[in-house]
Amino acid sequence: MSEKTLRDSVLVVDDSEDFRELIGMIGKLYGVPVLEAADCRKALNVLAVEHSKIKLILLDYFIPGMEPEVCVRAIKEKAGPSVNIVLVTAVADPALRAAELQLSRWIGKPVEPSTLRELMTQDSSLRKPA
Amino acid sequence: MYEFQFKSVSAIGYAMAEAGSLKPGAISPTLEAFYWQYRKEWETASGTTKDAIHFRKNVEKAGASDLLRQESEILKNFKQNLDAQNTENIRKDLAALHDLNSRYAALENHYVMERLQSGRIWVLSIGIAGTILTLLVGLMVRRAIAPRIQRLVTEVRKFRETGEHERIADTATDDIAVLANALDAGFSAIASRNRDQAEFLSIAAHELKTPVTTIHGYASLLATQRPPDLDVDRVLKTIYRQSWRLSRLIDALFLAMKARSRKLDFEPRPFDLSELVQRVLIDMEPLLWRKTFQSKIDPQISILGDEALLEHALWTLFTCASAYSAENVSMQVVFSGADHRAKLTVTIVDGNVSKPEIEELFRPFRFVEYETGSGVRSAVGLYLCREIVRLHNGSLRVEENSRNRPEFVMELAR
Repeated sequence: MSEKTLRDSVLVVDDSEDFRELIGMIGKLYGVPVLEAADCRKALNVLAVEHSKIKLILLDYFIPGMEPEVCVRAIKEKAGPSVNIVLVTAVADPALRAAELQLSRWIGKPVEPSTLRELMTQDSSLRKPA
Repeated sequence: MYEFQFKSVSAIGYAMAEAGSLKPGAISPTLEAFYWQYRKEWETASGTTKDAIHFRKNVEKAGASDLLRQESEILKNFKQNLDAQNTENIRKDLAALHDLNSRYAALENHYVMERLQSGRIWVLSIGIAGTILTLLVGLMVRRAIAPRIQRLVTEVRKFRETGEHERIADTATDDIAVLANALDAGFSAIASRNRDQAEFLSIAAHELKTPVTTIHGYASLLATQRPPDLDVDRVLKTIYRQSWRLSRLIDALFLAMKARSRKLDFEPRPFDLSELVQRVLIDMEPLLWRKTFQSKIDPQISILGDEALLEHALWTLFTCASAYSAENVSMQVVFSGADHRAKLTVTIVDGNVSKPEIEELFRPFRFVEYETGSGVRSAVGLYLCREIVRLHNGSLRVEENSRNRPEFVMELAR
């Protein structure tokens, strides 16, 4: 039997409450459900429960309580290849940091809401649950 | 020519004049005296003076011993003729003696010229040898030190062009090694400072971008989209809070740069420092995450100082203290005045941080991270704070009177 699940949510992992709230507002505006996590452990917990719904993870570089490399490795393992991970960071050299973390996509802060909208509204697809 | 030879020739001249005027058969005490003086002082053949002995050796060495025999013969004849009062022969003897002394002089002159020539050759030889030796030593020194000097120059150029330092590590014990080690230490310090500066700029950029991201994002939503159910009040409060934070951070960076170039503006006036300490504590309290202040502040302690700068210093000091304090404990703040000094003590409780770690914050380009409850933030270290305190003729230090309880102690003149 094949059951199809809508993978349409975005998980934002950022220690800035204001930024998470901003992503939430943009998501609400364009009909994209947004899940939030203030640190890596919370993100892993959200992934454990909501994995099948998540299509995109917006990940900050500096996350409290865990080294960026460790955090990204754990999130990648949990998320699997079907979930896109985009580094959204205010560090001075985001491309270099993304390469260090073996992430192919990155956005430097400050970021235009239109860019976030495009990112959040694309890649929506129906996937088979794992 | 020896001195005794000048004198003998001169004396012979006088004797010849005396003999010229001597009458046949006459006795001459002058010539008698001349004879004995010649024998005693000027004779070469059997003279005992130092010059006579030396000159005699030269005459013998020149193979002219015949002259010595002639001198002895002449003197013998001269004495006999004096005794016999034979005037004619006396004149002849004196003429022969004069002639002999002239030959002595010629011989000595030859020797003098030879010695001069020999001396010149010696001086020239020594000069040439010295020059060659100096050149050889110079070449050896050059071969020994030139590569090391060249290496120093290369390292200095490389550091100037790239800012990267590779340790020179000269293990010798001479002055060049001392210079190399001094360069190593200097370059390491500059490279370390440059790294600190680059890290500072990187963190500063990150900290500036974070509030800008929120302000820009919310402002953009308000300006372009304005969703119908958008909580505008909440958005405006967020923008206000983040812009305030941005403003404080810019102020801190601006002041830190001014402090670094020793150009802090200082506008002192009398004000109540107790009131300022109290106000900063009250303003900070809501921003602390799971931390509180327990304060004991003596009232009405006034100082002459720059209130705006000191407010900034207090914010930085309390932020750093809160960054290092454990959660759910109270940081103790005591402010008192005595002996024309105002003293502020901020005790970090259960901070699990050592005094040297805290003292690192006094170096330029240092940041400290702290938890706000809505994320980890960075604040500039205590370099600026200490510079502001110094401007007020005060001091800021870290003391550790008991384990796990380091204290910031700020003292200002009243």
